[in-house]
Amino acid sequence: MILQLLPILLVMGGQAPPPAPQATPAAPVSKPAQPVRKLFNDTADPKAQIATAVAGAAEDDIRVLVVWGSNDDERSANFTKVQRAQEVSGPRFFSDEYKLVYADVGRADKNLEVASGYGMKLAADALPAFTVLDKTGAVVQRATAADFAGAEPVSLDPKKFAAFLTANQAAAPDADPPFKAALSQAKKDGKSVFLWFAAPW
Amino acid sequence: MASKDVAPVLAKEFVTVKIDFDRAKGAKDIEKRYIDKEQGLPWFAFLDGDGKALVHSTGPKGNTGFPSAPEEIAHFKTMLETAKHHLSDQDIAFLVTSLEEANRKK
Repeated sequence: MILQLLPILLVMGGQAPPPAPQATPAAPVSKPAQPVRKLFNDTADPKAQIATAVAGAAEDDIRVLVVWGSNDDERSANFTKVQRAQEVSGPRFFSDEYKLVYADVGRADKNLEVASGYGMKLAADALPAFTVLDKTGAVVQRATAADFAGAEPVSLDPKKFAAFLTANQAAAPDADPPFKAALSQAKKDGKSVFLWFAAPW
Repeated sequence: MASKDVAPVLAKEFVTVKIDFDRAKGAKDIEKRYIDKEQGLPWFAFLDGDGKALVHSTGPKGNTGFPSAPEEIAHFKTMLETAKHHLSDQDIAFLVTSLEEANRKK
């Protein structure tokens, strides 16, 4: 405990305590391995995943980003680094602007018919690949890892990725038309309006 | 609100409109018509067909948000009772119970 507090005491200007007696090195304790969170669910049906995301995007008037990749692909697994980067996490793209789908495509040898349905021609050395869909499920934009190559090997550049997300996000909706439509409908039906202010998150 | 059980009960009484407060243009202006001070999210109000507020989610202890605490659920029940034209007492009891159950599952 003293050793742990030592840096704090020194920073606080306190007197350093006398050195603690050397302890006998303890036998190493094996820690249980931390479960690695897998981005891609290799048993999920990507068609169903995308359908759910599109339904959510329609409700919130935002877009869907499908990430085609695999847990075994290093660059796909590195996608979490892009997500956490300030350029991407700061503007809250994945809470406010996009529903995110991780579609497992193995080494570009699985679920290819689903990907090709969105015009994606996948190659194992260009994963992850990306498709932006609008709230109806129509393709807005396609890209591959090569479009966002970072300085480090098998990395993606967060600045390039943030620019891609900004360029393809949905236009801000106008609150007035649906509000007026709800009032009009309520009056016609003799009902009240449940006006609900929320956010996609 | 979107659940299969709850949505049809709410639809007896309400036309629902969800507005993205942060993104939608004009959202803040609409909210200002009903409350002076900006509230946390979600915030909601029941209006008549002319846009007049019948009651809103800011209760004695502030905005209930998604009602989960007993006093928040109680305020939501009061809101329903204030606005009701088509909801029966059983409907309101059902909606209240659904909130209580959702809270228990958390």
